[in-house]
Amino acid sequence: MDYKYIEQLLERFWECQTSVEEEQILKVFFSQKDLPEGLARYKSLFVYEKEQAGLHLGSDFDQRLLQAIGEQPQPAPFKVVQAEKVTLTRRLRPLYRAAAAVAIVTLLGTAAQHSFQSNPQGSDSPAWDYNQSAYKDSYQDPQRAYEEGMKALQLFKEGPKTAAADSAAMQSQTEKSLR
Amino acid sequence: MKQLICTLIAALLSLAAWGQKEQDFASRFIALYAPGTSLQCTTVSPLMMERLLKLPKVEGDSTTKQVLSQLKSIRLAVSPNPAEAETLYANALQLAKQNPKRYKLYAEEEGKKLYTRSRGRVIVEIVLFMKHGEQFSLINLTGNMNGTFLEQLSGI
Repeated sequence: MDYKYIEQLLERFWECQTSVEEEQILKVFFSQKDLPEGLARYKSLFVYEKEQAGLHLGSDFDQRLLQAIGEQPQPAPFKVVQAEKVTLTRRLRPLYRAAAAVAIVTLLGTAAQHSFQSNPQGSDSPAWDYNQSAYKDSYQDPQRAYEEGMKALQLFKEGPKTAAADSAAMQSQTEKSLR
Repeated sequence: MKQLICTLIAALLSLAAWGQKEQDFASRFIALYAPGTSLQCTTVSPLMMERLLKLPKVEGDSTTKQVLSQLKSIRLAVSPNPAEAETLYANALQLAKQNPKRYKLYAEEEGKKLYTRSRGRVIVEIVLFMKHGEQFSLINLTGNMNGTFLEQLSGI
Protein backbone atom coordinates (compact mmCIF):
# COMPACT_ATOMS: atom_id res chain seq x y z
CA MET A 1 0.00 0.00 0.00
CA ASP A 2 1.26 3.41 -0.93
CA TYR A 3 1.24 5.93 1.84
CA LYS A 4 2.84 8.66 -0.18
CA TYR A 5 -0.19 10.88 0.07
CA ILE A 6 -0.21 10.54 3.84
CA GLU A 7 3.48 11.32 3.98
CA GLN A 8 2.93 14.44 1.88
CA LEU A 9 0.15 15.53 4.19
CA LEU A 10 2.44 14.98 7.15
CA GLU A 11 5.12 17.08 5.50
CA ARG A 12 2.59 19.89 5.07
CA PHE A 13 1.39 19.36 8.63
CA TRP A 14 4.89 19.91 10.07
CA GLU A 15 5.15 23.05 7.99
CA CYS A 16 1.75 24.21 9.27
CA GLN A 17 0.32 24.37 5.78
CA THR A 18 -2.47 21.79 6.10
CA SER A 19 -6.09 22.79 5.89
CA VAL A 20 -8.78 21.66 8.31
CA GLU A 21 -9.95 19.03 5.84
CA GLU A 22 -6.43 17.65 5.36
CA GLU A 23 -5.93 17.44 9.13
CA GLN A 24 -9.23 15.58 9.34
CA ILE A 25 -7.90 13.06 6.78
CA LEU A 26 -4.81 12.56 8.93
CA LYS A 27 -6.91 12.06 12.06
CA VAL A 28 -9.08 9.48 10.33
CA PHE A 29 -6.01 7.70 8.95
CA PHE A 30 -4.25 7.49 12.29
CA SER A 31 -7.41 6.37 14.10
CA GLN A 32 -7.32 2.96 12.37
CA LYS A 33 -5.83 0.02 14.22
CA ASP A 34 -3.26 -1.23 11.78
CA LEU A 35 -0.74 1.31 10.76
CA PRO A 36 2.52 0.90 8.90
CA GLU A 37 5.51 0.78 11.12
CA GLY A 38 7.00 4.03 9.81
CA LEU A 39 3.88 6.04 10.59
CA ALA A 40 2.71 4.40 13.83
CA ARG A 41 4.84 6.66 15.92
CA TYR A 42 2.66 9.67 14.94
CA LYS A 43 -0.57 8.02 16.03
CA SER A 44 -0.69 9.50 19.52
CA LEU A 45 -0.41 12.97 18.03
CA PHE A 46 -3.64 12.67 16.06
CA VAL A 47 -5.74 10.48 18.35
CA TYR A 48 -4.98 12.56 21.46
CA GLU A 49 -8.02 14.83 21.09
CA LYS A 50 -10.28 11.90 20.48
CA GLU A 51 -8.93 10.03 23.50
CA GLN A 52 -9.24 13.03 25.78
CA ALA A 53 -12.75 13.75 24.55
CA GLY A 54 -13.75 10.28 25.66
CA LEU A 55 -12.57 10.80 29.23
CA HIS A 56 -15.42 11.31 31.70
CA LEU A 57 -15.85 11.13 35.41
CA GLY A 58 -16.95 7.72 36.54
CA SER A 59 -20.41 7.20 37.97
CA ASP A 60 -18.84 6.43 41.32
CA PHE A 61 -16.77 9.64 41.32
CA ASP A 62 -19.03 11.52 43.68
CA GLN A 63 -19.19 8.58 46.04
CA ARG A 64 -15.43 8.19 46.09
CA LEU A 65 -14.88 11.89 46.61
CA LEU A 66 -17.31 12.06 49.50
CA GLN A 67 -15.70 9.01 51.00
CA ALA A 68 -12.27 10.59 50.72
CA ILE A 69 -13.54 13.76 52.41
CA GLY A 70 -15.09 11.66 55.16
CA GLU A 71 -11.74 10.04 55.86
CA GLN A 72 -10.06 13.39 56.36
CA PRO A 73 -9.78 14.52 59.98
CA GLN A 74 -12.65 16.82 60.86
CA PRO A 75 -11.56 20.43 61.22
CA ALA A 76 -11.87 21.81 64.72
CA PRO A 77 -15.20 23.51 65.25
CA PHE A 78 -15.04 27.31 65.34
CA LYS A 79 -14.58 28.66 68.81
CA VAL A 80 -17.03 31.42 69.52
CA VAL A 81 -15.14 34.21 71.23
CA GLN A 82 -17.21 36.75 73.03
CA ALA A 83 -15.96 40.30 73.63
CA GLU A 84 -15.11 40.69 77.28
CA LYS A 85 -15.30 43.97 79.16
CA VAL A 86 -12.07 44.64 81.11
CA THR A 87 -12.85 46.48 84.30
CA LEU A 88 -10.53 48.99 85.94
CA THR A 89 -9.95 46.64 88.85
CA ARG A 90 -8.85 43.89 86.49
CA ARG A 91 -6.66 46.29 84.55
CA LEU A 92 -4.84 47.35 87.71
CA ARG A 93 -4.44 43.80 88.98
CA PRO A 94 -0.74 43.56 87.97
CA LEU A 95 -0.01 46.51 90.25
CA TYR A 96 -1.51 44.87 93.32
CA ARG A 97 1.69 43.11 94.24
CA ALA A 98 3.72 46.30 93.89
CA ALA A 99 1.17 48.20 95.98
CA ALA A 100 1.30 45.51 98.63
CA ALA A 101 5.10 45.70 98.70
CA VAL A 102 4.99 49.49 99.07
CA ALA A 103 2.47 49.19 101.88
CA ILE A 104 4.64 46.65 103.70
CA VAL A 105 7.80 48.74 103.32
CA THR A 106 5.99 51.89 104.46
CA LEU A 107 4.49 50.06 107.40
CA LEU A 108 7.84 48.62 108.43
CA GLY A 109 9.51 52.01 107.96
CA THR A 110 6.94 53.77 110.08
CA ALA A 111 7.13 51.08 112.73
CA ALA A 112 10.92 51.31 112.79
CA GLN A 113 10.76 55.09 112.97
CA HIS A 114 8.44 54.96 115.94
CA SER A 115 10.33 52.23 117.73
CA PHE A 116 13.68 53.97 117.33
CA GLN A 117 12.55 57.50 117.95
CA SER A 118 9.53 57.36 120.18
CA ASN A 119 9.76 59.04 123.49
CA PRO A 120 8.12 57.03 126.23
CA GLN A 121 6.01 58.89 128.68
CA GLY A 122 8.17 60.36 131.35
CA SER A 123 11.39 59.34 129.68
CA ASP A 124 14.25 61.80 129.41
CA SER A 125 15.43 60.46 126.05
CA PRO A 126 15.40 63.05 123.26
CA ALA A 127 12.14 63.36 121.35
CA TRP A 128 13.34 65.90 118.81
CA ASP A 129 12.45 64.39 115.44
CA TYR A 130 13.25 67.03 112.86
CA ASN A 131 15.50 66.75 109.86
CA GLN A 132 18.74 68.39 110.95
CA SER A 133 19.93 68.90 107.40
CA ALA A 134 16.87 71.05 106.66
CA TYR A 135 18.28 73.85 108.83
CA LYS A 136 20.59 76.24 107.03
CA ASP A 137 22.23 78.81 109.23
CA SER A 138 21.64 82.46 108.41
CA TYR A 139 24.93 83.36 110.09
CA GLN A 140 28.13 81.37 110.19
CA ASP A 141 29.59 83.43 113.04
CA PRO A 142 28.45 81.96 116.40
CA GLN A 143 28.55 85.38 118.04
CA ARG A 144 26.22 86.85 115.41
CA ALA A 145 23.99 83.77 115.55
CA TYR A 146 23.86 84.14 119.34
CA GLU A 147 22.80 87.77 119.05
CA GLU A 148 20.08 86.95 116.54
CA GLY A 149 18.95 83.99 118.60
CA MET A 150 18.72 86.09 121.73
CA LYS A 151 16.84 88.73 119.76
CA ALA A 152 14.29 86.11 118.79
CA LEU A 153 14.01 84.88 122.37
CA GLN A 154 13.64 88.44 123.59
CA LEU A 155 10.86 89.00 121.08
CA PHE A 156 9.31 85.76 122.25
CA LYS A 157 9.49 86.96 125.83
CA GLU A 158 8.07 90.38 125.04
CA GLY A 159 5.50 89.08 122.62
CA PRO A 160 2.56 89.07 125.01
CA LYS A 161 3.34 92.54 126.31
CA THR A 162 3.82 93.93 122.81
CA ALA A 163 0.66 92.35 121.53
CA ALA A 164 -1.31 93.54 124.54
CA ALA A 165 0.04 97.07 124.13
CA ASP A 166 -0.83 96.99 120.44
CA SER A 167 -4.35 95.83 121.09
CA ALA A 168 -4.77 98.51 123.79
CA ALA A 169 -3.54 101.13 121.36
CA MET A 170 -5.89 99.84 118.69
CA GLN A 171 -8.78 99.92 121.16
CA SER A 172 -8.10 103.51 122.16
CA GLN A 173 -7.86 104.47 118.49
CA THR A 174 -11.21 102.83 117.82
CA GLU A 175 -12.78 104.63 120.77
CA LYS A 176 -11.38 107.96 119.57
CA SER A 177 -12.71 107.42 116.10
CA LEU A 178 -16.14 106.56 117.50
CA ARG A 179 -16.26 109.83 119.43
CA MET B 1 10.74 42.07 85.97
CA LYS B 2 8.74 45.26 85.60
CA GLN B 3 7.00 44.58 88.88
CA LEU B 4 10.31 43.97 90.61
CA ILE B 5 11.70 47.30 89.38
CA CYS B 6 8.50 49.11 90.46
CA THR B 7 8.73 47.50 93.87
CA LEU B 8 12.36 48.49 94.31
CA ILE B 9 11.66 52.09 93.26
CA ALA B 10 8.72 52.28 95.63
CA ALA B 11 10.81 50.87 98.44
CA LEU B 12 13.55 53.43 97.81
CA LEU B 13 11.01 56.26 97.71
CA SER B 14 9.53 55.07 100.96
CA LEU B 15 12.94 55.01 102.58
CA ALA B 16 13.71 58.46 101.21
CA ALA B 17 10.40 59.78 102.55
CA TRP B 18 11.17 58.20 105.89
CA GLY B 19 14.57 59.85 105.88
CA GLN B 20 12.99 63.27 105.44
CA LYS B 21 11.56 63.13 108.96
CA GLU B 22 9.58 66.06 110.27
CA GLN B 23 9.35 69.63 109.08
CA ASP B 24 8.88 72.48 111.52
CA PHE B 25 6.07 75.01 111.37
CA ALA B 26 8.21 77.90 110.13
CA SER B 27 9.64 75.99 107.18
CA ARG B 28 6.17 74.83 106.13
CA PHE B 29 4.80 78.32 106.58
CA ILE B 30 7.60 79.87 104.55
CA ALA B 31 7.27 77.28 101.80
CA LEU B 32 3.54 77.92 101.56
CA TYR B 33 3.13 81.63 102.11
CA ALA B 34 6.48 83.44 101.88
CA PRO B 35 6.77 83.58 98.07
CA GLY B 36 5.80 87.05 96.92
CA THR B 37 6.01 88.60 100.38
CA SER B 38 8.72 90.50 102.24
CA LEU B 39 8.96 87.77 104.87
CA GLN B 40 12.55 87.25 106.00
CA CYS B 41 13.68 84.26 107.99
CA THR B 42 16.64 83.99 110.32
CA THR B 43 17.71 80.48 111.27
CA VAL B 44 19.95 79.13 113.98
CA SER B 45 20.53 75.46 113.24
CA PRO B 46 21.04 72.60 115.70
CA LEU B 47 24.76 72.55 114.91
CA MET B 48 25.05 76.27 115.58
CA MET B 49 23.10 75.88 118.82
CA GLU B 50 25.80 73.48 120.02
CA ARG B 51 28.44 76.05 119.15
CA LEU B 52 26.52 78.78 120.98
CA LEU B 53 26.66 76.78 124.18
CA LYS B 54 30.45 76.96 124.07
CA LEU B 55 30.53 80.74 123.88
CA PRO B 56 32.07 82.31 127.05
CA LYS B 57 29.05 84.59 127.39
CA VAL B 58 26.73 81.59 127.55
CA GLU B 59 28.95 79.43 129.72
CA GLY B 60 29.04 82.19 132.32
CA ASP B 61 25.25 82.60 132.44
CA SER B 62 23.60 79.52 133.91
CA THR B 63 20.01 80.61 133.10
CA THR B 64 20.81 81.32 129.45
CA LYS B 65 22.79 78.11 129.19
CA GLN B 66 19.93 76.10 130.65
CA VAL B 67 17.46 77.64 128.22
CA LEU B 68 19.68 77.27 125.18
CA SER B 69 20.62 73.70 126.06
CA GLN B 70 16.98 72.74 125.69
CA LEU B 71 16.78 74.29 122.26
CA LYS B 72 17.76 72.65 119.01
CA SER B 73 16.85 75.40 116.60
CA ILE B 74 15.52 78.92 116.43
CA ARG B 75 13.75 80.43 113.48
CA LEU B 76 12.54 84.01 113.38
CA ALA B 77 10.41 85.06 110.41
CA VAL B 78 9.55 88.75 110.19
CA SER B 79 7.60 90.74 107.66
CA PRO B 80 8.09 94.49 108.05
CA ASN B 81 5.44 95.27 105.45
CA PRO B 82 2.29 96.51 107.28
CA ALA B 83 0.10 95.52 104.35
CA GLU B 84 1.11 91.86 104.72
CA ALA B 85 0.80 91.50 108.50
CA GLU B 86 -2.90 90.73 108.58
CA THR B 87 -2.74 88.18 105.76
CA LEU B 88 0.34 86.40 107.09
CA TYR B 89 -1.18 86.23 110.55
CA ALA B 90 -4.36 84.73 109.12
CA ASN B 91 -2.30 82.24 107.08
CA ALA B 92 -0.30 81.17 110.11
CA LEU B 93 -3.48 80.71 112.12
CA GLN B 94 -5.00 78.68 109.30
CA LEU B 95 -1.93 76.44 109.05
CA ALA B 96 -1.99 75.79 112.79
CA LYS B 97 -5.71 75.03 112.73
CA GLN B 98 -5.25 72.70 109.77
CA ASN B 99 -3.01 70.52 111.95
CA PRO B 100 -4.96 70.32 115.21
CA LYS B 101 -3.42 67.00 116.24
CA ARG B 102 0.07 68.34 115.76
CA TYR B 103 -0.17 71.84 117.17
CA LYS B 104 -2.10 72.56 120.35
CA LEU B 105 -3.01 76.08 121.33
CA TYR B 106 -1.08 76.88 124.47
CA ALA B 107 -1.95 80.52 124.99
CA GLU B 108 -3.54 83.35 123.09
CA GLU B 109 -4.01 87.05 123.36
CA GLU B 110 -5.19 89.72 121.02
CA GLY B 111 -3.00 89.42 117.92
CA LYS B 112 -0.87 86.63 119.32
CA LYS B 113 -1.08 82.86 119.31
CA LEU B 114 1.20 80.37 121.02
CA TYR B 115 1.10 76.77 119.84
CA THR B 116 3.11 73.80 121.03
CA ARG B 117 3.84 70.38 119.62
CA SER B 118 4.57 67.66 122.14
CA ARG B 119 5.80 64.10 122.05
CA GLY B 120 4.92 62.49 125.31
CA ARG B 121 5.81 64.95 128.01
CA VAL B 122 8.43 66.64 125.92
CA ILE B 123 7.59 69.83 124.06
CA VAL B 124 9.46 69.51 120.78
CA GLU B 125 8.23 72.68 119.14
CA ILE B 126 6.93 76.06 120.21
CA VAL B 127 5.38 78.39 117.68
CA LEU B 128 4.54 81.98 118.48
CA PHE B 129 3.13 84.23 115.81
CA MET B 130 1.88 87.74 116.30
CA LYS B 131 1.03 90.95 114.58
CA HIS B 132 2.36 93.87 116.55
CA GLY B 133 2.90 97.41 115.56
CA GLU B 134 2.92 97.19 111.81
CA GLN B 135 4.74 93.94 111.41
CA PHE B 136 4.17 90.22 111.53
CA SER B 137 6.54 87.97 113.46
CA LEU B 138 6.79 84.23 113.77
CA ILE B 139 9.12 82.62 116.25
CA ASN B 140 9.66 78.90 115.93
CA LEU B 141 11.66 77.08 118.58
CA THR B 142 12.41 73.37 118.45
CA GLY B 143 14.17 71.21 121.00
CA ASN B 144 13.61 68.89 123.90
CA MET B 145 11.80 71.26 126.20
CA ASN B 146 9.82 70.69 129.33
CA GLY B 147 6.96 72.47 131.04
CA THR B 148 9.16 74.88 132.95
CA PHE B 149 10.92 76.05 129.83
CA LEU B 150 8.63 79.03 129.31
CA GLU B 151 9.27 80.16 132.89
CA GLN B 152 13.00 79.86 132.35
CA LEU B 153 12.71 81.74 129.11
CA SER B 154 11.13 84.70 130.83
CA GLY B 155 14.09 84.73 133.22
CA ILE B 156 16.68 85.48 130.55
